[in-house]
Amino acid sequence: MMNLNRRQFVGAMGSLGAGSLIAGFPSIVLGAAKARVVIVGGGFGGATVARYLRMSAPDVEVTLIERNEKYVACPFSNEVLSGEREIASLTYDYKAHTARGTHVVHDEVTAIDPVKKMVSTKGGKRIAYDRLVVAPGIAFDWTATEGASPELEKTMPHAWKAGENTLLLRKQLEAMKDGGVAIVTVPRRPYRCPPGPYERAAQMALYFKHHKPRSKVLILDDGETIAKQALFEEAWAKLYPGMITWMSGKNGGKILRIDQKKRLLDTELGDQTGDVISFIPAQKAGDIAIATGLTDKSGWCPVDAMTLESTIHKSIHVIGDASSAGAMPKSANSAVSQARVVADAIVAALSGKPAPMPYYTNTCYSLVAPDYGFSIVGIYQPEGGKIAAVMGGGGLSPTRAPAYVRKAEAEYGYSWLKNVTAEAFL
Amino acid sequence: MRSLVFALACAAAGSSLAAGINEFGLVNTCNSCHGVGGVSVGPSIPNLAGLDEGYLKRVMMEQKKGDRFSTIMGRLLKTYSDDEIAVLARYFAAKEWKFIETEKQSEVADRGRGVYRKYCMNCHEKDGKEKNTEDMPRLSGQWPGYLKLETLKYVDKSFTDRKPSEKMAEKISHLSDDEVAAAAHFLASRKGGQ
Repeated sequence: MMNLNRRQFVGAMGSLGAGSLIAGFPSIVLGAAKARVVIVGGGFGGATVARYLRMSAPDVEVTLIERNEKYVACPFSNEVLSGEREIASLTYDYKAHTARGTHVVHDEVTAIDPVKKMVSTKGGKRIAYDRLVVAPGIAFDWTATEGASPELEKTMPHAWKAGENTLLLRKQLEAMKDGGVAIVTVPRRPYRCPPGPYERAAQMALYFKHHKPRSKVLILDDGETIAKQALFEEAWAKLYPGMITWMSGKNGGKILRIDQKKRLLDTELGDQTGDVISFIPAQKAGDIAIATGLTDKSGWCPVDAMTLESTIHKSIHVIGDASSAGAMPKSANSAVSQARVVADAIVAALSGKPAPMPYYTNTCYSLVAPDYGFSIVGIYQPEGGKIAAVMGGGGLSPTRAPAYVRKAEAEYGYSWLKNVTAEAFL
Repeated sequence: MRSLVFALACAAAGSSLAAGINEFGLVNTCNSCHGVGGVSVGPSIPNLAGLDEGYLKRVMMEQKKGDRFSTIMGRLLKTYSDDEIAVLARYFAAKEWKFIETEKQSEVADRGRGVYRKYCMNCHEKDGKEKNTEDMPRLSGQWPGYLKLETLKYVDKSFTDRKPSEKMAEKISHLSDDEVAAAAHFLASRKGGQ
């Protein structure tokens, strides 16, 4: 129970009806309306903020605004491409959030007024906030590659927002002839899920190995180094020898322009084409972050390292892929970790306490086959105003690990998925 | 004196006794893998809630120092302080143990009971009651995938790292994969240590 001096207590009692007294001490902030937190975006980050606010601050009114009634989680959605997983296993709704007392609004946010502290939606709602959390994820930057456009997702599925587009890519792989080539393109850094494209190549190769053994995967990469590089190269060679080729930006991987009609990817070392092409576009913060002026020239949202509050607009916190969170990668687990920090920071701010010391972590498993996984761990803390990796903390799975370790990490990966999705959505 | 001042300051702030530790932030870092409040919903990652405080602390300290094999925990714990590990152990130990929900397959469980009685029970029980101590973690109602992976460290020939327990290395390294899986199922589906 909160501390009240005698005068406040009497005043508060006087303003309450007898019903509230019989029901017990009212769970409102006395003398003021309930604090209102509005969350824009119900992905891993936004959903997790709602959960922790309901757990730790039942007096706060929480509204979660999300366009879609169902959410399809991206982690391990590459397994849909190999046929190891059904998309239904990654699909969640928001019923658990409603049951926990969060106001879930399925609507699209069209404008945020950081001065009036007001969110407007397509459905005509105006929702006031004391603290806003913006967690819109990524938007695709189709202008980054000449000849690219949003229609490309039909012919060269990115499958980088899991769902229908993942299923389309799976269908294209199924329809491909044996002996064909599937291309995965990797965009400029930073992008969502750094190891994702290389896991995708492995999952495609897994499908080919069983069903179309003469087929190949070609990775055309904008960059020169890749996440978990030694681990992926070891795994590709061991499990899919001769099937996966990786071309770095300088070695013909950088795509200069696309000819959609001819299905040509023009690189510095000539044209490439594939029977199936998964073109993963360059990325930027979700549209509403840009429209609200929360982004800087990087295309992402700068935030305070202690509280993830925007350094541009006060009382707005930006988390997940849309934020520029220093050394943290754009991943589901980063978003969830940031969500907990934000819930903690918001509760402190609403009660006039200093920002608590944040704990940031990221755990990311990659699955090269159902019994072959590896991981990276990151531990982060604020340092000189930025979120920095803690020296000596975290790190990669070892290379040349025994079969037991690869299998155990795959199993831990599957269990991580169950726990992290339950944390956010159940 | 210094620690007393810290302790008083922390008590006043309603936070952890270990100086300056944001307990809410710290303990929740475990949730993405071990489940909210240390109650896992993934079959290969153990429940932490309700394990013995001394056990949790000992295992985490061994993992942190690299004295105990782990795929990932060592990397996670390397930069956590001993105080932070103590806070984690105390927090999860204070929570209630939840037996996992699992459908018992009688025939497998019977075989598993046989394995358990022959090779495990002598050390893991006292006077017919399952131990939950610094040396012996409780097993009944724990996730079977986790129990299996832990036991395979003694059985799987590809695992060449140091064994967590010398005694178990002596007793169970000859078990078959099937016996390991049966014992894991028996323990997972067992309620109340009976």
